[in-house]
Amino acid sequence: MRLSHLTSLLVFGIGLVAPRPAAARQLPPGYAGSKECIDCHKKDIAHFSETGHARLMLQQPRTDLERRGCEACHGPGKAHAESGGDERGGLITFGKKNPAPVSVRDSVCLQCHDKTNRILWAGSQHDGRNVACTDCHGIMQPSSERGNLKRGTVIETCGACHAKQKNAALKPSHMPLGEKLIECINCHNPHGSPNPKLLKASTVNEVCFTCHAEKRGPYLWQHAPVVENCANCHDPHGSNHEKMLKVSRPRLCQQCHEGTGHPQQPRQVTTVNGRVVPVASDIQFLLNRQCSNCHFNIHGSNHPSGQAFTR
Amino acid sequence: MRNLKPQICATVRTAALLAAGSLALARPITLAAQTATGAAVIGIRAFDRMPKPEELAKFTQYRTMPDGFLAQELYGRLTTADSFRSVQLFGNSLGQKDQRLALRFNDPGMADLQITWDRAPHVYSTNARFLGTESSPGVYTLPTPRPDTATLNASGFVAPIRQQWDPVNVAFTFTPAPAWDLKVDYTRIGKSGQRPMGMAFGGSGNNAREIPEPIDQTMHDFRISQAFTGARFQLMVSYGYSVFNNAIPSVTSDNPNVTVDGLNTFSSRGRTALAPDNRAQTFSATGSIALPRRTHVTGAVSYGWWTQNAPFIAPTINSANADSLTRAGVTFPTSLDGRVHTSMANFSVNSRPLDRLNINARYRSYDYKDLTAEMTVPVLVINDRSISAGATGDLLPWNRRSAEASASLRLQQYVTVTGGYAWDRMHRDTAVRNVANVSERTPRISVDFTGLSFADLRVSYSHSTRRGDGYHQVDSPENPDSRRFDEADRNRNRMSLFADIMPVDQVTLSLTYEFGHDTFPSSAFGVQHDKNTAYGLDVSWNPIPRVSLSGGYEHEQNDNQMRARYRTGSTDATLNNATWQWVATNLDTSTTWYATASAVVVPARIEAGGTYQISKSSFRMMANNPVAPTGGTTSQNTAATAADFPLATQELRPFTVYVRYILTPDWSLTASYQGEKFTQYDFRTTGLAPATGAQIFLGNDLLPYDARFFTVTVNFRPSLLKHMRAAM
Repeated sequence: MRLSHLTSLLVFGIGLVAPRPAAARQLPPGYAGSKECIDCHKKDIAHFSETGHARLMLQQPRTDLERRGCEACHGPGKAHAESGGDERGGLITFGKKNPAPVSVRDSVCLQCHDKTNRILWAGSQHDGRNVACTDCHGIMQPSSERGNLKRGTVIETCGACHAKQKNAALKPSHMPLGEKLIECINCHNPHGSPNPKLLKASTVNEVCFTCHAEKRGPYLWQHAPVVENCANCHDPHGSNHEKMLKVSRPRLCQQCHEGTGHPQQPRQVTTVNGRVVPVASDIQFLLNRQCSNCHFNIHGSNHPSGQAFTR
Repeated sequence: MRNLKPQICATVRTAALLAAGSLALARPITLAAQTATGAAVIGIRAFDRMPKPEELAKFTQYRTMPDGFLAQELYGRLTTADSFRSVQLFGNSLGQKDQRLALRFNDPGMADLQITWDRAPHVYSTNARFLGTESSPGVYTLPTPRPDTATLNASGFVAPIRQQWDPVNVAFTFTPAPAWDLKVDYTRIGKSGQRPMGMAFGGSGNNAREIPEPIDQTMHDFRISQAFTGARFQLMVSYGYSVFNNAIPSVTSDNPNVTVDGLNTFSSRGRTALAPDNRAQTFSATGSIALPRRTHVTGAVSYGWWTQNAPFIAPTINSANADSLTRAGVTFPTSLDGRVHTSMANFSVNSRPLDRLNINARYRSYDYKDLTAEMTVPVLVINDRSISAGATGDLLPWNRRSAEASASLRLQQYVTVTGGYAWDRMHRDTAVRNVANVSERTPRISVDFTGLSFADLRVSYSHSTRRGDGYHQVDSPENPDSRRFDEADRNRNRMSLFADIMPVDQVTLSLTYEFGHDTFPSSAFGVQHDKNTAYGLDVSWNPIPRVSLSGGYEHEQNDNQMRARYRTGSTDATLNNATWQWVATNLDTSTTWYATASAVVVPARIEAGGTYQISKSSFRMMANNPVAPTGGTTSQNTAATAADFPLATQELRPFTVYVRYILTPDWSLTASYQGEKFTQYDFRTTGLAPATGAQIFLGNDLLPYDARFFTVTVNFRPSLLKHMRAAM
């Protein structure tokens, strides 16, 4: 089989059952047609024509809405065209100077994009704070591999408002967001979620288990704060401490462990040959992995003798 | 500098091949009713200053930085003649441990198939020192007699301790009808390599050994979902099945100080259980109904069950203790048969009865039910060393209910005010936790100025009070006046401000400020307060159309204070000695400055630019005794004396300068010089000798480095794709 035949098969294979584009129909009153737009907005159209939206709406419309082309999103433009561009009428421009409320602008996108991941957009945190679809997505030119993001990458897009979380990726211990190995949307659904913090799973733990399933258990010996919320001890966006811990060990553990024995001793350092080191009896509590030098299985142990998470 | 000739030759050859290809690809061509196009960025990297191998831990933490040939980006697209359906191939960092490859078949609005392979390295250490051999995966042996301290400290660096993730994902989305979406998603994550872990052999004050934990794990995650859309409703149902398999269930290490097993004395070896195999299944359904007056009612429910029944390993590897238990006829359970059921329900109503009014209400519940049968282990062998009384594993069920109502009112075109009130209640089992019910109430308000041509401004504030319904002491050694921070009464204040200001078209200012302050009014001991402040300013300026400048400053500070009491012994004097109180303040700061510049030096021919960044972080643990410890023996008073620990710091300074020469609209050459300087000090790891006290560490640390390197790339990016960012 020739290569071109093979690629044809790949490209068309999944589209064999696709509904064919319907024949052109009359536009409703007030609509001018995309050709009128193209005549004047050549520069914008040049960029737009490279996008998936352009391919769909200008070349392969499947529905009456898509057949309206530019006016499917911007609204009827006949008055605008007939006035030579002076009269904007009800056109929605999606720009900063556009008078249409965010909810009206978003409703344009939601005409088509209201399914699957966006099923819970209405009333979501971003909807409630008047975040417009076009605050994050750029439609008029291709600017990212996926999602038509305005700023090229997910972290740049989210970081435009969530600067603290974005900068956490620069902390010594961080998720590899800056290295582009994961993205904010691996854990969060910015379009709405039934879960706190727009998480993609029911709890913080269930999100973490997506990649860290080894922590899921259930274990014979369990650690209560681990079972309830990984974020009790870890800051998932990054921290100054190893393992993205919120507070350095041994203080992290000492916040709760105030029984008797070794956990609640404050620990001390001394100076030897100009170097600050723990006193001899505190070495295993302060150096290197601190409490985890011994309590390695702190997330839970399935060892019959692992009650103290040392096995 | 290294000999660049081979790399230059390789680049020239590749460039020639690409040039030949460009005759066909520089302009999209049509092949048998398809249009083909593509892009590529290839080149060479040569180090001017290469860190030593043992200094590479931080430099290569999540990436590979080879010198020599680079295949940075690859993109190819075949499109049907009508420019509609396409096959796309994406590649980054080809041939490296952080390689990304993606193949996508896309029929917009109809079907989408994506296959991705995203490799992710994680380097933990490049300067570990480790004596002994790994006789089989996860079994570390030492020679007999055991090496002395000098030998341990003189041992050479071992291979980097690193982990490699190889996630492969296949996602298929199919829309057989406009009202029906089907998605099937399968992910396999293979994890291999090692990471440092500790193994204890003695009781408190005795020895522990740090070893590399062997990792050979596989995760399979399968999800299928279907969404149905009607005129006024949507319904999405999904099922997920997750499997975790661990090929190495335990790790065994020789005790570096002991070579003979003894009954209730010492163990010559230790064995630790690693994560057990487990399974999880989840059903979920989400629905939405549109009602009159722009009202949506949505509901989401999910039900999951997790199981874990991996065989237990033997209770001890100490032959003397094991023989003793066998002779005594002690029998141990063989596996847990762990079962957890989770359920979530979320119902919400959103209504916009007026253009300017948005009303929301929500109720949510989550239950974590541990249905595992309570299991008692008759005898514990602590650290393989000493036999002690048995114990029963804790079951930790909990549930959480929350409700929230809010209303947003657009006062005028640009101003929206939102007020809301949230209630949240967490219920725990007092057999294992201290507080049965913890309720939190949170009123909040926010004001958003959006839609102005020159500024966006968002301000929000919330205040919450969390209170428990009583305290139950679970274990007798617990300090009865201590409160754990996740259960304690808490007052929380949160404030955030975000401003995006464009005073003139050429200048954009972004200002962020976040403040959070938690206090714990009923915690005589435990966390006293937790304060977080973060602020930043970003400025971008286009003084002339051909020049862009930007810079920024971000700063964050965490201030966490806890109060504790040293408790030892069993008498009231040793449990409740008021002079043994100590207060610790943990202070973290992180600061980043950055500046970038880019300019079109010669239009359509030469571009240049650069970036410079400084990221600093520090933390210190300060502690003091409100009164000098005097109430016990000299050694007890000494043990109760608190002290500050030294400041720990890290600093990273990366920079880049580049020049891009545009040969044709499709072809360009980029030459860059990059550097990265890293320094750090942490008294706990800096200069740590493997044999320190009775402990045997790997002695690894993140060593400072100063890397400098040149990169030259040939960029082929047809004009059709020139808007695609480097993120491709």
